[in-house]
Amino acid sequence: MTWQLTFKVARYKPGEPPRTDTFQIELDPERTILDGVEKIWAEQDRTLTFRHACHHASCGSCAIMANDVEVLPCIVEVNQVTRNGGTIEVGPLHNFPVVSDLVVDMGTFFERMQQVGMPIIGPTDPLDNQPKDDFHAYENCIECGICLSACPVVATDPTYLGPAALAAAYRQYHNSDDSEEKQRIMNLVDRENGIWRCHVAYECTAACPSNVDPAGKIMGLRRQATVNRVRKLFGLKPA
Amino acid sequence: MAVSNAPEGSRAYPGQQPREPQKRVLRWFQPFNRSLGTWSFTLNRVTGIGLVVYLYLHLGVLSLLLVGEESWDTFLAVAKSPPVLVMDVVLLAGLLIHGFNGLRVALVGSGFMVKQQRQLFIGMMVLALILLVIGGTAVFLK
Repeated sequence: MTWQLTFKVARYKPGEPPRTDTFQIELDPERTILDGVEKIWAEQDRTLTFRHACHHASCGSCAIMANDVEVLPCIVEVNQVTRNGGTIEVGPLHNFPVVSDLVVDMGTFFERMQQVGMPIIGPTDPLDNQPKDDFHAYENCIECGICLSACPVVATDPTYLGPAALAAAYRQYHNSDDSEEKQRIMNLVDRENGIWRCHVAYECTAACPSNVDPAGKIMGLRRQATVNRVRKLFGLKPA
Repeated sequence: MAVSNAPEGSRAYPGQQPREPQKRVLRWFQPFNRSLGTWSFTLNRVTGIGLVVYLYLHLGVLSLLLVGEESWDTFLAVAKSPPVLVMDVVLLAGLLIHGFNGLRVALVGSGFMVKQQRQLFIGMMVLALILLVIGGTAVFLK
């Protein structure tokens, strides 16, 4: 059985005003939103731009907005967001510059991950440097950018480091035995547009498809920063 | 491990190009389809803005004292009317929600009860509601 669906797709090409295009498609209700987008591309509009790779929530490259919620469209079935004859509105993630249609520029996002010492592909990490149990959750981060899109603070403060980079910083801070590296990370995050910019909305944690809990990590870093400051008052080294 | 040489925090997320910057602030007030945390975030902003507006309103009203006794007495008569008493209850609601939610933000933001932040929000709001009912009743009975 197939469903009749309406896809409203946010379109944007550099130099052109943004618009919304409407597509009617037939789709099995157990197929994913990404299947729908691919069907539109294949059968109706070859100029539609979107990003995808693994189709199983492993690469994080396909993250978009669907009905105003951040999703990995490769694992969300259409029956989870609409009904037969219903509408699915898709658009690019919030809080990122749009390159074209559903594709956003992740450059700054990856740059900040690198700043905290968490490059996407580390030459010696993580296989020969297995994290401690407490940090396993971070290893699940697929760098999809959903946490940044969901964060209401990033929406109005583009200089905010953001949940993903701060969660990575937490992991790197606690996983490092190098006091200089720890201090470098703390200097990076213990400032106005670092850990103290978070307003405890916990939307990043709620939206994260990999259960990384970025907000919890930010709170952990705050506690660590506070402990370090108190220790400094008594002339002690940071913990 | 490789570390970027990019200046710390030097590059901002430029925002979503088709969306004007002034529209991005609307995200603060769109908790629909979001988690309880965003509702608390939105509540804190709405009540915060409301309390700031009230502060200036309050200062404006107090300035009536400079005008004279008669104008102040006239204001007091208005202040005891039911519509203004309802506004007093709204003010009390704003104070309680902002205060208790702020306490939750301070606690969780300092690393306390991080894993129980959701329950903490619900508990704080229940406490605010109980005090609002007591306070609201007192406003109308006195």
